[in-house]
Amino acid sequence: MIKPLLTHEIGSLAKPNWRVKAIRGIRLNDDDIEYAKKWGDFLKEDYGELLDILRRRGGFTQEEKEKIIYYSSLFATRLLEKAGLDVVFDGEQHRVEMYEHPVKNIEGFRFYGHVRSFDNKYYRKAAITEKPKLKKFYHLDEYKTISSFAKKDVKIPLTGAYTLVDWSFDEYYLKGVEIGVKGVVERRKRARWEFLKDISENVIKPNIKALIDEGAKFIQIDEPAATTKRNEIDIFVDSVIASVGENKGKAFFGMHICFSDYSLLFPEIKRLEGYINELHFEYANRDTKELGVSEGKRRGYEILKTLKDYNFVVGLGVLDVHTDFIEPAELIRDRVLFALEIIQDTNRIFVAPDCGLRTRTWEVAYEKLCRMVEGVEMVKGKLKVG
Amino acid sequence: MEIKISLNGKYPRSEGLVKITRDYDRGRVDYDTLMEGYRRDYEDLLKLQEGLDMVSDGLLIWDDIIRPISQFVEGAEVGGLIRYFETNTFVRKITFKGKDFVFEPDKFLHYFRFGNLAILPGPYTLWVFSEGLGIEDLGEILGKLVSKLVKANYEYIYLQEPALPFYGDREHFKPFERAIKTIRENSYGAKVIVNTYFSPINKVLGFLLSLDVDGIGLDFTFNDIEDIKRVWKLDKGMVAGIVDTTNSLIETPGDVREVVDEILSLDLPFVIFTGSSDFEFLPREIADKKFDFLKRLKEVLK
Repeated sequence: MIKPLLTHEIGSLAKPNWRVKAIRGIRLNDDDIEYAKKWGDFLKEDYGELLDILRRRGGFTQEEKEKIIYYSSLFATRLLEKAGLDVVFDGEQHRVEMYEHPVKNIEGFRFYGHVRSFDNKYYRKAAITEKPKLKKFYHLDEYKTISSFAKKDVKIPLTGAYTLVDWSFDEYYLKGVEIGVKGVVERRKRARWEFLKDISENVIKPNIKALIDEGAKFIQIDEPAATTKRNEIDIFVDSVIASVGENKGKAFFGMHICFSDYSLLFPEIKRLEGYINELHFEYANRDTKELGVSEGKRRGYEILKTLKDYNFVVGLGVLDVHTDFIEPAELIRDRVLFALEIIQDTNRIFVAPDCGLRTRTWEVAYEKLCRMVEGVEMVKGKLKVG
Repeated sequence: MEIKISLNGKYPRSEGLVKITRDYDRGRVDYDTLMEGYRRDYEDLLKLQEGLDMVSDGLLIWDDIIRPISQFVEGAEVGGLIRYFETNTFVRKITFKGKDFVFEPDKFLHYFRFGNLAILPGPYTLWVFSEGLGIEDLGEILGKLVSKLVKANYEYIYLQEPALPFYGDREHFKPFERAIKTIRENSYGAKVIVNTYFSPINKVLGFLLSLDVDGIGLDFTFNDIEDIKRVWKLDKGMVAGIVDTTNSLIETPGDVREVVDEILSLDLPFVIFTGSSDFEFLPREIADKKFDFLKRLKEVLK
């Protein structure tokens, strides 16, 4: 599976309206059906069965809803394959999103109301109320489905223990920890570790093992919250070790972290060598759009100078996922060449977007990914790399 | 010793208002519906604080703790998102092009609805989340705003300063002290409190206690009362964050008994019991329960 300058994506793609509306019980309109036809034709898929279902526009049975999800998964996977990626996924078409999906499948969590993230954006937050227990392997069916039709190697992302813990309240481990007394900070951190350890060992590790047993070769652990608390980098690293455990080396493990102060991870993250193979960060978001391989032009990639001395494959984010700007292939080329100047090894660089592309339309996501692959091919041509 | 209860920082919107604000953003409801949603939430918040000496409007309409300040400065621009300390909440950075204070009564009334407790970003925290002006310049702007607030009968001013203990750079202490002096000069007898949270305070406590303010706020999910007692100056009031506003677990009397007893054993001019930081990190139903616990503090500790 591993090859020089391997290209992959990072998790999510938008969910098409026909999939969202069908699942939410909202009536489909002509545009929704046309959109399904447009992509079915473009991806050269036989989608007659899907159209027959969608044309009913509403009142779908459970079986029909499952078919609709199957087709959105198939289409999303094909989109990534057609864009030319080496490793694909289905853009989370089976999932609500990266927090709710796992939490709903873990016993011991209770959902509360909304908490504000910024502006008028909110998210639902759950609390752990008892020792967490896995209800079912919540990525297994999804992996089996994608593997059944994927023509390329499949990667399966899963939300890491630290992020699940950091985005949740704690009504179990913190119980009885008094406020304002001697050692309050240490006691709270100890409670936090107990929570993390249980999620790592009782939830994440069994999921990973089940995926490996099913044949998964590339598992990506998503940890966007990794650097949220500067005094918890040590227990974040411990939780990754506990999550991978004896499965290390049995699959290729990537880790995705984004929109963070990466410098906080060093040197603690060295302990993950051997457990995690690829470290993927977001870079393009903090870079300029100008062509060139100078440090001034490629200022978003500064952390590579630190990363080069660590034994990880560098997951290089080259597409800004928060803009419709289509990065030209030449810009991708220069970002990769700049990284190569520092890392000095084509086997140690994988190329991907900064993060999931779910906030972009499929049209924009596809164009961005095509240019990304084209840019990588330019580099390979220049370096005469296979 | 005066003992009071207050809100801290921004208060969460109700589930109803969450829905209305989302629908408004998506063009599904009009401005009047949005304002009606706020009106109902303000009414509920007033009821929640019924009988208390200190009343805040919960900053329900504020986009974040920083942004409204841009509305009172000529040419200020609002930019990209920055993580708000170690939370999953983000604020938008302000870029100041100058420091001319602009006062429009309508805007003032939009952001300061009712009550006698005004909550503002402190000059250092505002400096961390902005660019273009120094800490002292920001102190001048906040001073002008405080002057308007006092004229509008606000009696308590919380200057939210989580950045001070979080970063604690000594090089910024002097400009911060001068900024606080400017704000103080504009406060005309209102109680000014520098309110910290999210961090242990010990490294900056000596400095904070030397400031010419009425009180200092601190977050007891990060601080130990034994340490605090050793250095606290008895002429300073305390805003004590004793319920955890970053976690949904509702405190029991046993969780806070020791810290409350110790605080009350000090002979301070006043103590205000509140949340450890903004209540907005909780969903509304949990925030209400935590605030209710505070209101019943005397009773539950008996």
